Amino acid sequence: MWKRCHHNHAFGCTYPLSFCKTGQTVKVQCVHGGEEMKSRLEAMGFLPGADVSIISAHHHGPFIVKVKDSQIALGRGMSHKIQVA
Amino acid sequence: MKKKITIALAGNPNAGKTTLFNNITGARQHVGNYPGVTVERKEGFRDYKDYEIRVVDLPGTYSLTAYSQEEVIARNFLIDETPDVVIDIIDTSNLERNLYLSVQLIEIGVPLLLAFNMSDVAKAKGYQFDMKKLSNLLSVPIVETIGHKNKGTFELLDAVIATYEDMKAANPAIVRYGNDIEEAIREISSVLYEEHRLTSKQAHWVAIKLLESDRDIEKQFMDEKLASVVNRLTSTLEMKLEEPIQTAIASHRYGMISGACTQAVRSTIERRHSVSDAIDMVATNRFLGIPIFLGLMYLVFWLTFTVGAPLMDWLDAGFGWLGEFVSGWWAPGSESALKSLLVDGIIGGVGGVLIFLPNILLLFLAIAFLEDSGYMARAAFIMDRLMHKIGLHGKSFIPMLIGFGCSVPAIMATRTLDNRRDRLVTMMVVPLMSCGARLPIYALIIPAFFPQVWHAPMLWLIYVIGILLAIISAKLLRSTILKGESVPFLMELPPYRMPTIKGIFTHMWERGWLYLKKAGTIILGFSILMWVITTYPQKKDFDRDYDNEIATVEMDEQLTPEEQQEQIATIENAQASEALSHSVAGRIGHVLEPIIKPMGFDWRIGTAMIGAFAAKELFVAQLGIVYSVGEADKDSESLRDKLRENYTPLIGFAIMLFSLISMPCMATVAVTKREANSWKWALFQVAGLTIMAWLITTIVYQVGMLF
Repeated sequence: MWKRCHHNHAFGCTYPLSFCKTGQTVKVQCVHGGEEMKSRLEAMGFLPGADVSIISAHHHGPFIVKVKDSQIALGRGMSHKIQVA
Repeated sequence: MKKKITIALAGNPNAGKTTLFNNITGARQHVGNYPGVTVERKEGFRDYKDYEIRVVDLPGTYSLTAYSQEEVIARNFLIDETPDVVIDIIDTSNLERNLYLSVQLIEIGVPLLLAFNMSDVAKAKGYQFDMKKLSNLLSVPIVETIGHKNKGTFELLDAVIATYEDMKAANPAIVRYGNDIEEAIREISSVLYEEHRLTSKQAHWVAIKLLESDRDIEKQFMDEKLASVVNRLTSTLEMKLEEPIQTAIASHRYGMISGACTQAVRSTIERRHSVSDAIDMVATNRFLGIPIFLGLMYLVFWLTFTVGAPLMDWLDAGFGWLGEFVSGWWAPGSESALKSLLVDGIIGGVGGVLIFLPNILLLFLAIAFLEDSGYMARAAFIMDRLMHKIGLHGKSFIPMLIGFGCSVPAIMATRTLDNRRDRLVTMMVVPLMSCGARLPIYALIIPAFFPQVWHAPMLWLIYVIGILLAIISAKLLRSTILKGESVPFLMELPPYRMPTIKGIFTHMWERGWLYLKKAGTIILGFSILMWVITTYPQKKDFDRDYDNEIATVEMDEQLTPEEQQEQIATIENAQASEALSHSVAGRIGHVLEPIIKPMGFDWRIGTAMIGAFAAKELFVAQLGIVYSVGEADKDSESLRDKLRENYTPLIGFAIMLFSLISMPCMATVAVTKREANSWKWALFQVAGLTIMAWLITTIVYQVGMLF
């Protein structure tokens, strides 16, 4: 399972991006994973507070999301590591 | 005397860097590699006013960390080679994300200039910019450009010169990281200032990088004293901030950017769904995605083979004419080693490869269209699920597709893969994608042994066997010698756009040129070598008196001229066959016979196989020589007759199977060596594929013999 977020969130619980459905818009809470992956995700705009809208959420395959005006495709594994609320 | 200045182009992937680079430099370009790595380095020149400008295209990056090869290269270039001006090319329609790199460029302290590219797209999206304000907030000059319409290029060059003459670099401390982090930056800077004699600007940047725990910078500057300071500060900061420092730093950068954008950018229309989104709803749909993808692939191959066929015939005829024209320089019937070298060796060998140029260019054209339109990124996305199952990355699919054209550019295309293991596996299996050069082998063999109705399914079967073997090999490699966690899929999907004619032709040409270079260098060399080993040692005393036999036929007045010619050709061919058997190639073929016997092959096929190593398509020409049918090509009926006389359909199938799997051609081996940066992998590829080919073909032949 994923590690817990570093900080405690003031508002209830967070859940991984992989739980989201097509059409939803959520806010990033934090990103887990290795430094390298995290740094790449952060550079692409996955930072705490950023809005993420889910363009397409396949059942097992990768996700397409919109962050800061760009469409990003990310694998299932990665969508587990982004905590959103 | 013109002033010489160097400028560097930086920017995110998909921001239109290549187009602007071409607009600035025109045809004066040079493509090479960055030392020690296989990241492409493009350089070009432009004379403008009183300046000679050298333009270096840096790899496209989102950031300037030490995590990826591209980012390290871009960063080191900026620090070590100190370009006079850096142009950061920005996709204006995706401003905040693109400015993230700009902010880091400002922090490094290079003289910076922002090119707001694709400003027309941004305006169409409903954005309005106050460029003056934005330029003031970021303290860097901004120029608007529209790369694909070549607008703003002169303004950009004027701004480059102004920035160069002005020598006023931006204020590097434009991002405020909040009191706690700023305090830490100051403390580390002061240590750096004392110990390493950096300027205050440099110290500021190094301090931020140390807080981000940047590997390269740590290696360069970290000593005991500094380490203790940094470690102490990091742990206090993380306690206070309740999040990793890297995240905090990135958040502040993005915070600064969105602050600037709120002040200087207005969105006039609220549009939730763009055209691009609408296309994606269909193109990446979970049900429609794969059928659409397969349909497009079918179109690509249809274009390649159907449209390419007549062009190929013209080229073929052209080389035939050239061969005859060159032969005409010598008196008929005269024997000349030079004539034989030119006509049989060089024109025959190189021409045999060049006739595939139309097919290959058409395939590359279609791929360039798919890439430039933005669909290729979606195709990688769609294929990722499947590719993931065999332990590869969605992006591996693009090199494999190019592999159907030619393995050489395909192996070069593996550069888009970030992970070395993924890259190596892809490189190893690419030769199993049946390349264009293997097609003439199938085109010769299939009609020789199989009835008309079986032609298409047979060809299809061969291609499918190649794909299946590639999948199995990839899986095998990934779970044995190239084990390791697969890299998660993360890829930007650029918005769909209409590719420009110039753009796709440039891309097509870049790949096509690699193929041509292969024909001009390796294949030319090998054609000469093959000619030598099939010609020498020459046989002086033949078993039969061929000259006498020909003379007899010529004297025979009962024969029509046609009959005479036919008989003479047969006699000459028999002589050629005897000579070949005596040559080095023939002898190697004989030596190989015991090894290839289990696959049903004799020394003749063995000799032709030697040719296939130089270039797969040479197999057909070689077989033609062995069977002494004179000029042989894929349509040669007389060669097919010979094959039918000597072999069974099972052997025909075995020949195709072995040609498909066995060792890749010389050019592929050479490019694998260069791209993998080791002989080990190149030799592994040769040995692995050849052993696999031998095993599979032997099994198929031996089992087939039981029926």
